[in-house]
Amino acid sequence: MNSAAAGAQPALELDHVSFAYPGVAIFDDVSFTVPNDGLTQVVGPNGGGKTTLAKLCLGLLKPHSGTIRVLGASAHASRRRIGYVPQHSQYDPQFPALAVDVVMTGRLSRPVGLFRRSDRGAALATLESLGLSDLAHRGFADLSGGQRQRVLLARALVSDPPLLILDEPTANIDRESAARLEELILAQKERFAILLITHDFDFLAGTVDRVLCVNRNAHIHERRSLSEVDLQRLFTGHFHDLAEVDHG
Amino acid sequence: MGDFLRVIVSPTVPFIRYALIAGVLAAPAFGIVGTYVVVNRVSYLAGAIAHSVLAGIGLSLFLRSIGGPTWFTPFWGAFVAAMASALVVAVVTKQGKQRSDSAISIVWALGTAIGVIFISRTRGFVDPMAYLFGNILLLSPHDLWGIIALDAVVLAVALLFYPQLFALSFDPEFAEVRGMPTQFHLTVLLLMTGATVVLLVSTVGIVLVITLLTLPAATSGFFSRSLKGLMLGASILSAVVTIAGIGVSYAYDLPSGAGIVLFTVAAYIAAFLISKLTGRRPAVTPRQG
Repeated sequence: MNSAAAGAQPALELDHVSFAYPGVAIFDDVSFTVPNDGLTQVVGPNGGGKTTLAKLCLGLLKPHSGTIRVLGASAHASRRRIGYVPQHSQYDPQFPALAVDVVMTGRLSRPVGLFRRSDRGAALATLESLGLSDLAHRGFADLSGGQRQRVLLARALVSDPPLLILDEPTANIDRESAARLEELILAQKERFAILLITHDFDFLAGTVDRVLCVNRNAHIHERRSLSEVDLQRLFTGHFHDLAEVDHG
Repeated sequence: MGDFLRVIVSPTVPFIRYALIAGVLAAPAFGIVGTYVVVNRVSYLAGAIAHSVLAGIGLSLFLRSIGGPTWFTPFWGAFVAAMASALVVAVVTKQGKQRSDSAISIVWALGTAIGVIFISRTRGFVDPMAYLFGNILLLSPHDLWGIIALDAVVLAVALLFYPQLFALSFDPEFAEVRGMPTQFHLTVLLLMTGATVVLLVSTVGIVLVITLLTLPAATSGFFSRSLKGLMLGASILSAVVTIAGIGVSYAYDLPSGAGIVLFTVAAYIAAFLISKLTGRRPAVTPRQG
């Protein structure tokens, strides 16, 4: 189907995973598998562990017990094969950098040494493929929230990853910018599997293949097994009703 | 002005020439490392490293007064102390911000205290003021060679680690996802900060050197939208204020460090006013430790 699926390894495989921050248990014995294709939407209340789950899969946090396999290997080994768009609070929006320089950091692979000419070429080509060439030499701090988010999408995609993880990509941008971002992702959707953490019911709503409910535990549902009412309920935070959506 | 130019080439007062050479050579290191210190908001860590060099200076003065090695000048004492405290600061920052704050204050205060104790036990008269606020008479030709070598190392490291330090500064978490050893890169940055502080510690002094490290970068931030532009602007500004400061302190017989800092602050205020008038906002805001 697509190059990502060709490997046939699941995008994510969590096996009896437990994790806690000091004094706060987040996951206790969580297991699920996310296939390596299509769009998986991660939903759940604040504090339920959505971002923690993303960080576990990126190797930024280590589970206290259990194993996590990402694209068939350990999270640590696979992290460079993941395109990651973090929450807007993770970076300094006033940082003095050109957009193309920000995108180039997505090509970093060596702990020392300058960028190669091909890194700049790849960054410019990715910006062009997303229709963002006009932003390349503008200051990141001067961009609007929506433009910044598109540049960060380019940074995530410049390494041609088989898996894309987006953490609340629409949290800080207006409707129109969200629609633009949606268009860009849809245009390239066949190239990678997507894990999308969001509170935004409308964002990419028509193309969701499965829903991963995360609230101290995690359950995965194929989209077609959920009714519109079920989906609404998941998004509007009625997690006490989750048992009704086959969480038994 | 003509008088000052005559003094620069005069063989009888070489120390002015040494101070100018040191200042101009150190300017790129100050511009580049200062930019990283400002965008990473680690002025407080740089302040701790700068103050701890008094321990090394004191040790050197004490050892020399009791017949220790003559090559171990205050410059090299400062260098050893700066590297040691940079490593300590790098280790404690790993513990997270809350816990590291008090540990860094300890590095700051303990380094200063050890220096003061060594100086008080040093035979003969030593003026601590000269080390705290700078005195260009302390610069020896031997130190000048040390400054040139250290400067070359800092610039080479800055060039070799540019993409990695850029990524660390912009978004450390993303750098980690790209497989970067971010703790190692932070250690490299702190060691560079220590080495840079040592370059001008005798010209500007321990207390004021942090101003010269951070303010030119913050000033340059009013006008630059890229990290490289910011570094270039800060380097040029650093050279200009050093030359102007040394010139004025010679003309009016003032301490060189104070003269340099006055020009540094004046440049920042001028940039601030220009940005207000033209409606530009700074890319970075300074934060003194």
